[in-house]
Amino acid sequence: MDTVDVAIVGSGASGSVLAAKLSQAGKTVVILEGGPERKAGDLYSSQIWARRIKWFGPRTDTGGADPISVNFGSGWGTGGASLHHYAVWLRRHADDFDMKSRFGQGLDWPISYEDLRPHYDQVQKEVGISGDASAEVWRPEGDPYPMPALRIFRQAALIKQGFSKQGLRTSPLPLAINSVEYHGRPACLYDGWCDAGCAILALANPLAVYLPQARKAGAEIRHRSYVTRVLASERGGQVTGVEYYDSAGQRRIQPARVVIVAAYSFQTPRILLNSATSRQRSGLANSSGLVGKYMMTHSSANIFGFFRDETENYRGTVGGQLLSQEEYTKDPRRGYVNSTQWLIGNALKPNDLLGIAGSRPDLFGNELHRFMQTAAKHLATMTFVGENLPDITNELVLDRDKHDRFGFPLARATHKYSQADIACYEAGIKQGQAIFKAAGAHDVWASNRVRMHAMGGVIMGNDRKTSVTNSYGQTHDIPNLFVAGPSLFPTSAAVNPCFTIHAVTLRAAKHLVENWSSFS
Amino acid sequence: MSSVTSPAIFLSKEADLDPKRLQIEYNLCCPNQTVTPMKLDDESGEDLVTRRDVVTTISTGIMATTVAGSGSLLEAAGSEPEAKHPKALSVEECRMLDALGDTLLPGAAAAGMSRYVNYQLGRETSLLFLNYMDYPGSAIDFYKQGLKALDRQSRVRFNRPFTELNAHEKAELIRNLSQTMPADWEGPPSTLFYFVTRGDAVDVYYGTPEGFARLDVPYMAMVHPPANW
Repeated sequence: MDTVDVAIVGSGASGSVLAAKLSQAGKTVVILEGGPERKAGDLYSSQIWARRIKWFGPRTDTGGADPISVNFGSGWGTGGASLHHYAVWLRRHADDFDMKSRFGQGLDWPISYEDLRPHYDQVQKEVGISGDASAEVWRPEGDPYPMPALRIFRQAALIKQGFSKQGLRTSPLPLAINSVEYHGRPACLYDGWCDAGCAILALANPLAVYLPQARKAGAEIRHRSYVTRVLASERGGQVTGVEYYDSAGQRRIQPARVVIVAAYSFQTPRILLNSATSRQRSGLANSSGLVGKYMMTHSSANIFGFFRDETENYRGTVGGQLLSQEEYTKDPRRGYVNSTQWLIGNALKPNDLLGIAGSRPDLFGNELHRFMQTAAKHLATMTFVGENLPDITNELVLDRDKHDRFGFPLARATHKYSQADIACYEAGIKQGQAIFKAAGAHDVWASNRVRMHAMGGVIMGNDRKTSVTNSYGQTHDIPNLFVAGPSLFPTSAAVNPCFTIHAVTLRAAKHLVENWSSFS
Repeated sequence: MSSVTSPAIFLSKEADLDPKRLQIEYNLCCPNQTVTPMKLDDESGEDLVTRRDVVTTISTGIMATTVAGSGSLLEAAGSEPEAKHPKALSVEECRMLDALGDTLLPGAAAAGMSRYVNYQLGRETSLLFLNYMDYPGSAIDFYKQGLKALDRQSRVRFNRPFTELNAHEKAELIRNLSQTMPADWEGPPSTLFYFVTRGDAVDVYYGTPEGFARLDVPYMAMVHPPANW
């Protein structure tokens, strides 16, 4: 097999950006995607069929006091997890990047908001975000959004009254979903099928923007190509390519000058750990011993309530309609330093994990029917997102007793919340219920606590003893081995990760292109 | 209001629902609905059958179409002939699963509860709600052992198999095991078994275009699924 300039493991948010930018710069690029090919027409509008695009790869056992969610948030096939993401694209705030220095808690990023700002600006222009920057009083400095905000429906308007009565501000939720036609893609239809994948590509999943660009520039996406290891030179100072198994189960080697592992927060560390050699027994790029450490998630919950008015909860987008970040700024005087935000007015479907029936899992029988009839018309909801602090004991390790069908150990993740995470979450749901009551909801309750998003596992930093990669995702140990995606995040912040994944990845892509000769 | 981490532990407060809104339609809607499972390509990458890519291009003209009601913008990939797939559950287990489904959500059996679960269990990559639970064991064993444990509970408590209990007895049994796992329960955690099978019942009854219609909620498909599941 011919040597390519770049082999990218994974076709999700970060892999697609890298493939586009590197192939446009003239590099030969192959993406190895473990799952099947997905096209827009495959994205059936059904919460049952939507499960096809969630994780079907090798199992990750998940445990600990508060197990991280694996399958629901992961992706299988073209576009990876971001094929079914909800496109809530928010910037991290300045104090999300240096919380260790400022507050003595968490970790510092190796970059500041100012380092990332131009990349946020460029990505939002390329992808398209709908929102109202002036209404987002909490928003860090940045270019205004290229599209006006999406429409607001009755559900969000009703909940907003509660925020106002509590003296809390809201703004339109910035979404990477078109409110008007943008770059040849259509405007949102407000049908609430985001979780099943947006088939009209109004939502900026990888099928909409960067994978078409990558293909046009010559990048190859090789589906059903399950990467098991990154291969290193005999002395371990360079990587030489990747080992994978094709759809027929045949072992293949793809030689590459640069390898980028962008396989989400569970498979990325697993592949590096499985790539151990006689010289690097603990895994590739793992001289720090931190590959698999600092696994993170967001603590989340939904507030639910009934309104006398009909809420039109079937209209809109799953991510929500309005935003409130009134308690985003980190303030240890609250008793915890964690940031929080509210995503207000999420579109609902009757079934599935986040559906109407799931809001009251205690109900069954005719009581559940009665609930469904009322809730379909009168239920409203909003989502709490709470930052979780990085903890080195939250980790992903190899389970030497369990293997995939090619004989490679499976992963096992353990996770627990810190006391600060719990205090933050409890304050959040208390506040959320008060807001709903102020809005006039006549029944109010909070859902179970949900683990939302997966981050960490291969964190970046300036010190090779306390991190695995530098700020570009280049591993400290091996100059032509890179990592991309949320695995790099040293802290979770409280914003949804996808916009930052894109911005960090764009920065890395530029660095690779500009310094190519030093890596390859 | 408490909020807890496990799907096995639920909220204690019941919504103040207006009984006048009771509009159960389950016995009126599609009681004889038959569902023909399609043969689908194996998502896992083993024993592949290529899906026909009917729709690959989306034009601006199509995009400009308004989505309303149950219409869809795009045609789904064509269905394959029905395949002979392995029957994961026995006839008796299916009968019991339907009885459980009707207890969890009356009408679920007629909507296809056991056919749905049995068909999905026969696929390499099922579309079952269980997939989201990160359950470490086999999906088939989850259902078989859960049903067996449920039947054992029924016999211990009422001296009869679950399928022979009256509606009140079934509900009492389900309510107990949904809240706390019985000490002598042998199977997947009873609370998880309840949560997952309840999810299945909701899927087949409310998670389809017919189900949306039961709630008077517009389906608004962008791509209509080739079958309900």
